[in-house]
Amino acid sequence: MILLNGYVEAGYGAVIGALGAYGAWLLVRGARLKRALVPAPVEQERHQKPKD
Amino acid sequence: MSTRVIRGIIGFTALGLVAATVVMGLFVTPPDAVQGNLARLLYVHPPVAWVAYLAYGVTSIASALYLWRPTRSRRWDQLAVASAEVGVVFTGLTLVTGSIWGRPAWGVWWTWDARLTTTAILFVLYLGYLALRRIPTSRETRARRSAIAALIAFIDVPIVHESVVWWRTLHQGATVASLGTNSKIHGIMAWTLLLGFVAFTFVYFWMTMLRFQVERLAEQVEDEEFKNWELERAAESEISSGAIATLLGDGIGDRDDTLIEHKVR
Repeated sequence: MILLNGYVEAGYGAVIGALGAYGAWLLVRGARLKRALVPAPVEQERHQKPKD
Repeated sequence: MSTRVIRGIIGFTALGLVAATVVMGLFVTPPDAVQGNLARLLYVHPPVAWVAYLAYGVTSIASALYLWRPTRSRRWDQLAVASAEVGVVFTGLTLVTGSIWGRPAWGVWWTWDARLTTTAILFVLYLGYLALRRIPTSRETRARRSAIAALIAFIDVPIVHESVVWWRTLHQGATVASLGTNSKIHGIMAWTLLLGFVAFTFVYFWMTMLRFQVERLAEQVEDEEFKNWELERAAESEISSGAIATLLGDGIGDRDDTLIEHKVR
């Protein structure tokens, strides 16, 4: 890595870091919301024994 | 092709283009004759500023479409907030990268220059827009209110753009607009700058699509929670009325109400 002057690296780092963090946050939030929409099995169904 | 696939393609394209911009900007392009390596910030600073303008433009169009009765739809409001939030991220990055560039070029991190000040106002205006959406009210009221706010906030976008023409500023004038005709920029530098614009525009589309989906899912979750709450309330009242009916059938109805309440519990 060629060292420039510190300011350039800071500028690129801020852009890549911030966009990466925001993108990751959106992905995680989307996955959590999707999981929240999956209906959880009710208590009876969970403890029901198979009939056969 | 599903939205998910399209979003994936846009996401990977954006990733590749940003990587190419970084490589070109840091390693391939020559240093500037006046600013040296510092000019490499050119490949990220104007592109992120352009995306902020684009994002607010999309927010304004979506807001106007929401306000206009024949096209009113929840989707326009969801798109408006998605684009505005992405726009705020990019405006923040414009201010940060500008400040990083300003310190070695002008000797200060911040100055109350017309371009900087109007950009800071733009940032605060759209933060206000996002804050306005947090006020608890009905969805329709929130959408209408924030659509009007978005249209008012957009007035600042042309002011930011023209600030370098209207006022004497430290910030340089419009260079990008004159690239085609009277270009004073090296060919590879101009192409890398163009690549930066395309790359961050792709990033914008990917993020807005993702944020739009998050908004839709959040509303669905909210609806589900409300439906469940209503069902629980209905079930509770059914149990209560059933228990009261049983007690009344046992002849307890003649006794005082406090006893009935106690039994129901």
